[in-house]
Amino acid sequence: MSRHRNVRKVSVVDDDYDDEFSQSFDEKYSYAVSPGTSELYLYNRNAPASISEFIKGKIQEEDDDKSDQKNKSLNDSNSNQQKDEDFMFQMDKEPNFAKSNIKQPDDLDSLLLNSLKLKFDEHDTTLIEEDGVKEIEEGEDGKQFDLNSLAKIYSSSDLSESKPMEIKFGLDDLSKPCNDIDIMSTSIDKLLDNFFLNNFQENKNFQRTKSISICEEKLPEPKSTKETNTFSLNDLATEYLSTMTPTSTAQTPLGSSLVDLIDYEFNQRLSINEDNEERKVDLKENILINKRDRGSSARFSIGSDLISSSVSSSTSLTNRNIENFSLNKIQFVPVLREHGTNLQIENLFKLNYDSEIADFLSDTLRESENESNLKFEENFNYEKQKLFSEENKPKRNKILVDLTNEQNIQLKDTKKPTTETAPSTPKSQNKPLSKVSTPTTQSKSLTKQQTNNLSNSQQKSNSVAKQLNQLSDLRISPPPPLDPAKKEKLLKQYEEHTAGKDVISLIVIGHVDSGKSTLMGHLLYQMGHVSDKQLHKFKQDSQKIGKSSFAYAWVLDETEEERSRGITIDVAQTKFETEKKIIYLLDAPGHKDFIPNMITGATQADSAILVINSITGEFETGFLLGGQTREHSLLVKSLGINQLIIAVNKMDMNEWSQERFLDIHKKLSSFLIKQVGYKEADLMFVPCSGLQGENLTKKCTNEKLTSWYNENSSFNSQSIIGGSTLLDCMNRLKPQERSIDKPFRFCVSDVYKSAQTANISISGKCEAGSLKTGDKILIVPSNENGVVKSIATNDEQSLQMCFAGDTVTLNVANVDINNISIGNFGCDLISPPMPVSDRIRARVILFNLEIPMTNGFPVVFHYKSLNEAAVVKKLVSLLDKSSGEVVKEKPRVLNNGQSAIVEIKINRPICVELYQNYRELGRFMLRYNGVTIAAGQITEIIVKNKN
Amino acid sequence: MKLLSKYIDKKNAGSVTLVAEEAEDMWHAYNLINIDDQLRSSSIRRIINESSAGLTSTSRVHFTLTIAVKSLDFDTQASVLRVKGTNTEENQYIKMGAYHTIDLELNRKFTIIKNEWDSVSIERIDEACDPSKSADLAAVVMQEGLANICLITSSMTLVKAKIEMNIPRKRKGFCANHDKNMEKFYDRIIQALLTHINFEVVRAIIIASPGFLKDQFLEYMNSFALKTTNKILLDNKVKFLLVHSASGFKHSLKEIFEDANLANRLSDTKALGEVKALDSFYQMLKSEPSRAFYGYKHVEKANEADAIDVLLISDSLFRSKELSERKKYVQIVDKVKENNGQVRIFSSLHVSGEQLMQLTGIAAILRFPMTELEDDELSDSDSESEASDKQEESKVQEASSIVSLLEEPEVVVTKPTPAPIPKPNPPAKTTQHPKAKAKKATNNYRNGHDDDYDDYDPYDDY
Repeated sequence: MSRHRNVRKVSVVDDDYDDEFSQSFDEKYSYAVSPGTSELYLYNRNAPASISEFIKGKIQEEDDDKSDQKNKSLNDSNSNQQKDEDFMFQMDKEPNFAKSNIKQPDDLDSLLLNSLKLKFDEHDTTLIEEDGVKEIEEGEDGKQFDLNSLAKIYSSSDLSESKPMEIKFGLDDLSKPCNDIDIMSTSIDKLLDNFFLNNFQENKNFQRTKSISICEEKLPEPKSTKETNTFSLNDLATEYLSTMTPTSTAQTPLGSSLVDLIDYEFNQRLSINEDNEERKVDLKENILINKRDRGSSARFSIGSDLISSSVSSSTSLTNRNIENFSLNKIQFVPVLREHGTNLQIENLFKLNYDSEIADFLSDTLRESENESNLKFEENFNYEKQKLFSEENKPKRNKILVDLTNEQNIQLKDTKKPTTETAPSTPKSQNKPLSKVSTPTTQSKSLTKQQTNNLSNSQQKSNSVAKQLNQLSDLRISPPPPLDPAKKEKLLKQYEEHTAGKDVISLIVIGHVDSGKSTLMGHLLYQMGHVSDKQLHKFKQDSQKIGKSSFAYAWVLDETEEERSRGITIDVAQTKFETEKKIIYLLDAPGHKDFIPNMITGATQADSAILVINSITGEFETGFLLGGQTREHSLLVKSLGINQLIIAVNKMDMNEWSQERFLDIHKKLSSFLIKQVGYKEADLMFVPCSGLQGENLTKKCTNEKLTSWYNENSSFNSQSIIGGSTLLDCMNRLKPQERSIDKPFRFCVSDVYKSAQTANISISGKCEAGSLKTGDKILIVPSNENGVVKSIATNDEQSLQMCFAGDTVTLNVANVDINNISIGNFGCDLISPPMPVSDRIRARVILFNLEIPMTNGFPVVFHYKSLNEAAVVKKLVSLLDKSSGEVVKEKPRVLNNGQSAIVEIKINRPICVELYQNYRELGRFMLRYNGVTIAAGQITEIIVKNKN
Repeated sequence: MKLLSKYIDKKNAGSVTLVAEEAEDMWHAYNLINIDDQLRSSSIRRIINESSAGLTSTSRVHFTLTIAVKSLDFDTQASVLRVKGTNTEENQYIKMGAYHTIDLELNRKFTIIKNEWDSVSIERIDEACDPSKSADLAAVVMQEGLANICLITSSMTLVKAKIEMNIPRKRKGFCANHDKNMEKFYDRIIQALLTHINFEVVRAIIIASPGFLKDQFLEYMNSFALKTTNKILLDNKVKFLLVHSASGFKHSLKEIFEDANLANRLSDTKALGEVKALDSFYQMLKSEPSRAFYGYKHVEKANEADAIDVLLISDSLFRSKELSERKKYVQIVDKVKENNGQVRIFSSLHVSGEQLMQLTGIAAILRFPMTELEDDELSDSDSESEASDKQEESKVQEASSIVSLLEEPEVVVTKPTPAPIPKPNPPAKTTQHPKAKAKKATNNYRNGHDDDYDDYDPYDDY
């Protein structure tokens, strides 16, 4: 009985906590909330967190949804998980609250008032909800704060402390599932020892150690919580102050070095033990149960806090607590880590938690019936509401679940050291719980929702394994949409970034010797990107080796090999700006053997310039079967490039013949439209001469051309616009849609050691999202994480931010160059990192197949800048090419021109994204024997579950 | 391989005594010895004697013993075959039924005793003992940043070294970085060649790459040889052959064998024949799909109709742990031969064999079209390949699950061990489900061993 009483008290505190918790939120903190892996949290995030706003927006929406809450079912399976997450969250926050102790006494009074108020609302959930909404709104304003809310916050901090207790509880249960406190304390001691040992053992692995040490961190905190818990509410106030101050001071060292951390923990551990000793005398039987119940209650309550907290994080909190939190910043890192580790523990405990919740609910119910203790009921109600509200907010739930999942995935990594303690805890916890859980039968008074919830939780506990299996899926789930406010801000920044110009990546493709490099070289020269002096040098040098016509090509073909052979081997990149566009120019090799390089380039491009050699006979060779004109245009189309400028080059050699131009136009456009699938409106034909530099940037002055090619001349095709130069065509390209509001994705196309600094330079294309200097970056699949020290364009202009569509070089500190290779991806630490798998399912279209594709067909898998050997494991189904319907399951063989779903196994795990989530990242090519045989879209990422 | 004696009775039971002379013979031995066969060979065991006074002395004792084979373990890199089994002939040192592992050694005779020698095994002995075997080939398949150094013998393709390097791309004004790294890359390849390839044995060294990489490399190597006056490279200059390949991945070796310029040099290499056979299968699949089938179920049906002209079968199917499985495939082979069909047994170590293995391990070109088969579900073969997939995956997952970058012992422990962990005490001959699983696992392990070594790069440490 006494235990129930305790529960009551605790939960009261919890209630209040929930509402206001949000306001004490640190903006930094919101990062912890965000769905990164636990590893992500290992890094301190100094830069202002843009994600907080993002979350805030989300929450606002959800608040609006609150009215719907009751209607919605509680069955949302995510709710439990979410709670776990929240639980973690609360714990982490503790230090922050400690800082704001000064005002606490007053607040506690109001807290009491509040709780009284709540009491009357027992059965009216809406009231409290409204309350919460109101408060949240206040939080958003950031300037209006009433004592009430403050009080709540402070009280909430108490709650947060109860969290650690739960874990502790679990630990002691582990050693002994009885209420004997002596044993408990000793067991804790042991566990701590274990932890400690682990820390040192794991020293080698920096990340791991860190996370573990922080995990320990939690343990010290229970000390304070315990005290508060056992005392009455009145006592709580005084007690709180006394206990909090030491913890707060103690926490400061967290931010410092690893060694400090460990030392600190060691101390903490000692003190805890002492504390335990004392307490075991005082608290006796109550403690255990109390703790457990509190833990669960706290968990309940936190969910809504998350929302509100995140809301306020950007505004109110920062305004109010700036000074307080500045100190906290230091602590922040460890806290985050704690977060991660907690989660892991959570997961291990998951079963217990669920059953615990059930127990708690039933317990509380019983309590209320038997003792009719108002306070308790308040709590309970409150909890209920929380539950409802949480569950009724699908959106947020989703996000949160994502978070948890992410962390779950990472669980294994970080958690390893704690394995000794962790696995055993669940069992032990379960035992006492199961005893308690028998009363569920009593809980007739449970509302429908509650019962739902109960069964739900129980179900959940049964299906933990299932959940774990699902975890990996979440990484694949579509990115959460960005809230409008945040998006607006981003867009604004983007506007500033681009100065209102469209960013476009252009790849120059075409058959060998069609003059791609020369054309581009000359264009760059005319744009003023190449000095006369440089060009003179090129001219002289090229003359020396008897290739004077290659002078302009040398602007882009820089390696010795390329110059001596007179061909482009690797893609060259340059950037230039016109009055309307920022253009990233990629000069692709035309030689058949270098198509892999060309694909790498094409995957970075949004539009293409197809260069045609108009010399009689040359166009035909390039265009015939096996010519690169054909393959390249097919390739770029299947890589998602929908706009094509066709530069009919070397027209000077044909005396600028209109006939020739129109002939090429006719042949090519029928091919491009009918066979490749371009729309006529997306094609632009332009006659030019790369070597002469005619009709590139300036209007052609040659009479022979202008006579038929001018503004007034009309062509019976919309793909020829009379009089326009190549540059005009570029300006006329439609702007590309960018996923700047999606999580950051950066495709690595080159890695090298930076010349001046110790940093690693990673260049590539930002495919989605945005990044600013000082942000953390996670390189997957190696999970290297580092800090972006600077962002530069390829011509060494430094930038503050980069956005989707930009081709940039990132200078990253704290990463190991050996763990990064071409084809890796960079992600932010805020959102779920890219999924990793060695097996995908994809929809492919086959072409150029010399021999039919069967099961076990070896291919080279080209995805973004990566190429890797792969095997077509299974032919899943043959599709109708136009309708996409399944024509045949498990076909024996696939032939040219067919469309099918296949399963591909890549030799090593790589990062991929679903086509439906990221258009830019969902495409790939398959090549076999030097021929491109298929283009595909990733429809499914198969992540193997260990069980 | 030298055949010393062969006693096979009417019922095809009997023994064969062989001496392995070179590394490749171990591969043959590995394919000859099956579970439940008996193997007699000399072996060493450390015996601990305890005197009455309590003093212990250890001595290494050589003795010949016969074991009933329980498991085999073949290391492709070292070409070492370990055979584990229980003793069937008691001697003073080792009790009846005690476990012993024999490491088969070169130039030491061993006897394989089988209850039934099937045609495939007998043929393999003949093949292994054929003295007119062609010498080895070495090949360097490369692309920028990746090189595979392979040794190709008549029945094995071994990746001796895989070199992977991050080579910075060319960037405006910073090409030096690229060139420097390319030279480093070439250096590594040369070093790997010198360590792993015995230039006296190999007949030719093929350098294959897309584009001009191979030319550049050869040029660099020649200048390197001159600079360092490396005699080995200088003397063997003529052995280097340049061939085009589309990529630097291992499966590009297939292209090399198809290269017409090489055909005469490789004419008697088994690998070449396999590549050709597989190619003709694919060509048939393209031109007349109803005359080319794969998967046990389809092939079996075609065989029943005596329709098989050429049978392509992977030798790994004969290494099945289960006798019935083995028999099943031997029967097909026998029947095809009876009907004057051609049987090509692919080595699962060759690239083409690997591909065939992915293609369920068995395929056939028919004499006449069997359209009725086309409509049949592939269920049987599919489930087969799926099963093997699963095994493979679980392995891969374990080895390199990126999701959890740091391996987690805890999970590994709780896992139902899908990995190929041979059971310490497999229940005797009543091999049912559990064992069947284990079989597949080990089977896969064997087939997949190349993967295991693919990532091995001795130069990574430099």
